[in-house]
Amino acid sequence: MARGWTRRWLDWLESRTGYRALVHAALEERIRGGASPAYVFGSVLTFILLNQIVTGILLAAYYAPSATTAWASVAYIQDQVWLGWFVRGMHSAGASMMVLTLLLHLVQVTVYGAYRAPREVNWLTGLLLAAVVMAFALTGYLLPWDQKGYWATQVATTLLGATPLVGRTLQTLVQGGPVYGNLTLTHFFALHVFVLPATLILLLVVHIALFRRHGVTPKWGRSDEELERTADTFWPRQLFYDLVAMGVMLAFMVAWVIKTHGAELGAPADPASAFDARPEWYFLPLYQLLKYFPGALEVVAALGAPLIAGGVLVALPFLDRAATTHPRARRLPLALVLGGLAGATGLGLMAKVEDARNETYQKNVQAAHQEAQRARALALQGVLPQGGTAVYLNDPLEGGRLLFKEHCAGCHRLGPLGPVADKDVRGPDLTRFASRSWLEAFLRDPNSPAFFGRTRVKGMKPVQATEEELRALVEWAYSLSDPPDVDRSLAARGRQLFEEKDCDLCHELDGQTEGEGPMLPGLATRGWLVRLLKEPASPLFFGDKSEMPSFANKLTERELEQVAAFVAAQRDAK
Amino acid sequence: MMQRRTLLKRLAGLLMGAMGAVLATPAVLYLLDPLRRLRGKQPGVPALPVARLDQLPDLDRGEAPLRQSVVARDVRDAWTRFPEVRQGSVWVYRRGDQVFCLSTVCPHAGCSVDYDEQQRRFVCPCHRSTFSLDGKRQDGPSPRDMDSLEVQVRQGQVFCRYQRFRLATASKEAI
Ligand code: FES
Repeated sequence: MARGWTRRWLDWLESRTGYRALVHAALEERIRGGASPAYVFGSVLTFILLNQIVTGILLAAYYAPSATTAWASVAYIQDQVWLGWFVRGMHSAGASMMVLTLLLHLVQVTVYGAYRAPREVNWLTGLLLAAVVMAFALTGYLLPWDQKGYWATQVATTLLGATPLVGRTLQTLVQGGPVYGNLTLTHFFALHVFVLPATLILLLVVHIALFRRHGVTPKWGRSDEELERTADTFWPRQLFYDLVAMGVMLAFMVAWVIKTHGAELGAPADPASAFDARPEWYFLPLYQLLKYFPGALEVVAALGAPLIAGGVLVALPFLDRAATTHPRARRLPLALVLGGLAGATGLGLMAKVEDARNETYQKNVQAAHQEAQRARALALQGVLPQGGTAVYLNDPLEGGRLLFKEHCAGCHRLGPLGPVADKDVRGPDLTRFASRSWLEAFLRDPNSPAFFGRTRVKGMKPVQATEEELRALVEWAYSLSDPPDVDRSLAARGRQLFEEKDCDLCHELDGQTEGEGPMLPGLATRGWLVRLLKEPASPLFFGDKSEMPSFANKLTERELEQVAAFVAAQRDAK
Repeated sequence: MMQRRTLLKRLAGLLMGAMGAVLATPAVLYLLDPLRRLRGKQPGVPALPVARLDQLPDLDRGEAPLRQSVVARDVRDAWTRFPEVRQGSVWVYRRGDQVFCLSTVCPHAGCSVDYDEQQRRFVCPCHRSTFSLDGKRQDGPSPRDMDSLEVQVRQGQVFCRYQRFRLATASKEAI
């Protein structure tokens, strides 16, 4: 029943559109000399293009192109969206495979002599398509706005800017200004997702139409009559070769993406940082070439090399006047293309080898990787609206430092932070707070101006003890925040002295009973500090003599945690 | 011969189907991510600070109510975390010991309700709905009383659970 229904529906569609003739024409395409695995590259390229379109649209559904949102949104895709890493990985792997397959396609066409008359225009559209693909790669690399994209692309735009006469203007237009910013991203995005795809598809239509017009170029050495005799249709054999090649490509890409967990995302672009940038592998030959051209000559090489290569390729069908497609008859064109490719490969490999031997570079790569991991872990909490490097403010120590500067440094000194004039200091100096040295200085003179001397919290007397006893008390107080390097027996001795010296008359140890002085359990831990920040005037802390305001409603829980983490880290500060 | 063609046809279909599935499955899951994020997360309406208790005007002593914006902290929007997001405004005040917190959104069509100091009542400037000092409907097209919000007082601070409600209905339904 179902078959009958489908059939009737398809018949209706046929009567209205005539689609069967189209499918027929596609499948019955004549292949002189028969199907061959050598012809699969064009189909594989089309297949990868399909992958790029699908994954590209998917990425666009979660990506926001601006200097403040690009990195954070890509980090979101990579680390938070369901299978985001896979989709992004497939897009990136597809880009690489596109370039690789393009090269294979080029080699096949060159070796078979398929660029020759009457297929010159087809060859030229192919070269234009290759240029578009490279432009895709270049623009796409910048979009995540991470360190490597940012710095590697700078090289490209700087070289563009060095073009004689029009360079400066061109660079400013492409970047949307003299330096990278929001407009650079929107421009690159517009190119990458609208201009280039439209151009590519247009060229591709022409390319395929011309291919259909002229047909394949069979392998050399067979007579016309033999080619006619072995002619085949696209369906089924060639389609099969194509499908298998696509399947292999897809399987390889999927395996690669799973193995590498997608494309790497670096730390957010930071114009203030130093970054050892490398382009993607397909630009490495050019990168390596630039090393050999000092100073002003660099531009000549950067623009000259692609121009010469492009020029040779464009001229190829017009150079090749051989009577047959046999390689022996076409030594020059083959040598030019294959030699050029071999040279480029050599340059690329040299770049790789030099980097592998360069210890500084390897160290930089390691450091960049760690920075990226750190930034992405912090991005899981969400990135502040200023975006990009603001992700580091999620680090409690960095965020806490800024909060301390804003809310605490009006009264407290801490390292370089705090009031400049002594008269403005209104609380203890927190530099290396709760470290052994801080505690010792504090116990010796709690009412010194560096501690409570400038506050209304007074009453604790300097501890009267021998040096040895003092050390024990310090060790015990130090042990309250549970650091890893406590001398347990010394601390136990301190605990004893705590009672012998009557400290317990004012300081309670159960964390509940209200005492004259602040409670000591968990002294200087994050939890203790958060409680203090919330209720400094609580009887558990300084009571109503305290002039410190409560931060319970001024800071969020997260902010309180961050300030506490920053101050608590003082204990171990150097 | 016919048989081989059918077999090839099936095989080709299978290959294409498999490749399509490999591309489409992650694509669909990827697009469903917002749904997955929603699941298991039924966030209550957070209580947000609006004023200090000792700053609250007392309408019974002839004072005028306070118009305060309600600001949520640390709001996540996909990849961004906003430290502060303005949610809306409330009228907040006391009458004796009772603390009031009324949404400024007019239940009629959503204009912002004003306080009329002369008449000592709330007035919506758009279509002249008026409300008593308790927010009870008096005149005009508003279908219900002003929307009161749940209030909490903790440590001298007044918090309210800010919500929006459906407009133009007689009953108050949160959205
Ligand atoms: S919107 Fe307030 S009365 Fe119409």
